[in-house]
Amino acid sequence: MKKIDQIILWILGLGFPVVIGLLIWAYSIVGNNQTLNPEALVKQNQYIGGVWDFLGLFFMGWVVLAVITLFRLLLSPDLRERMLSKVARIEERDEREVEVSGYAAKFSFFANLALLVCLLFFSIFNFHIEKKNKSFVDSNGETRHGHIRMGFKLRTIDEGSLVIKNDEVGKELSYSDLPISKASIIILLIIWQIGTYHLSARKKLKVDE
Amino acid sequence: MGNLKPKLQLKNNLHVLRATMKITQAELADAIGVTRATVNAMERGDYNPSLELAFRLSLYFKKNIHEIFTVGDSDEKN
Repeated sequence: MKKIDQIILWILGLGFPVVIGLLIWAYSIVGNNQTLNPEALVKQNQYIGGVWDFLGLFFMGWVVLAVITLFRLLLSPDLRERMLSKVARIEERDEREVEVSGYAAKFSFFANLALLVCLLFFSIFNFHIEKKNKSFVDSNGETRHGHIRMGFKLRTIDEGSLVIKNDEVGKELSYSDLPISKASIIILLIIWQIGTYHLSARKKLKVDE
Repeated sequence: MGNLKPKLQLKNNLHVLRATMKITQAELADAIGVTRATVNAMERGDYNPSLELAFRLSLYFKKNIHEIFTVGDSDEKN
């Protein structure tokens, strides 16, 4: 399995500049004009059209591999450690560095949790100051009033982020963004952080008993 | 939480043993399977080795663990 993981990561790593190159090529053909179809323009030349088709297939395969790898990252602690320790440049060459890494991880955990709690508070809290109509100034002579509100939405307002329709013409399935609100994402991250910490600690304690 | 300084102060004579054998910190580190920074931290008293590492040092220097490490005064400020 490790060999397969290495090959997949190798493909993803080497394929990333190719994917970026393809995006840059597509952008250079149509620029900001979203109505133009780069495929139609490129296929006017048979050979360049062939290269475009090949790169398109490569891009599709790369995206599928990336999605599979991302889900495996969530589910496989071993792959997570191997891959993300390289991304985060975490080295544990001996027991002292393992201990240091443990302290740093705990520090980072609490720092992240504090930031998430802060972000959650500010994502559900809103504050307004309104100027009153001059003709309706109240007996206190106040010209402005302020509101502090707190509210939570599970989903985003933009319903177009995930679309599933069955019309005769038009988008049948479309995904462009996470269909949940920022506050929901933050709550999910807080639960994930605390949950995974306790899960791994409990597992380790059971092994040591 | 973030203080790495050990609470029980262990003293060691690693630097003396190393000088007797005329080896550098890097050579000792390679021999016992740690980094040079770890050897340096042990000699300064900033890091207490694990039991396994203490035994590796004992086998390397051919000395009893008690001849290498002794208990100093506990640092109660920590």
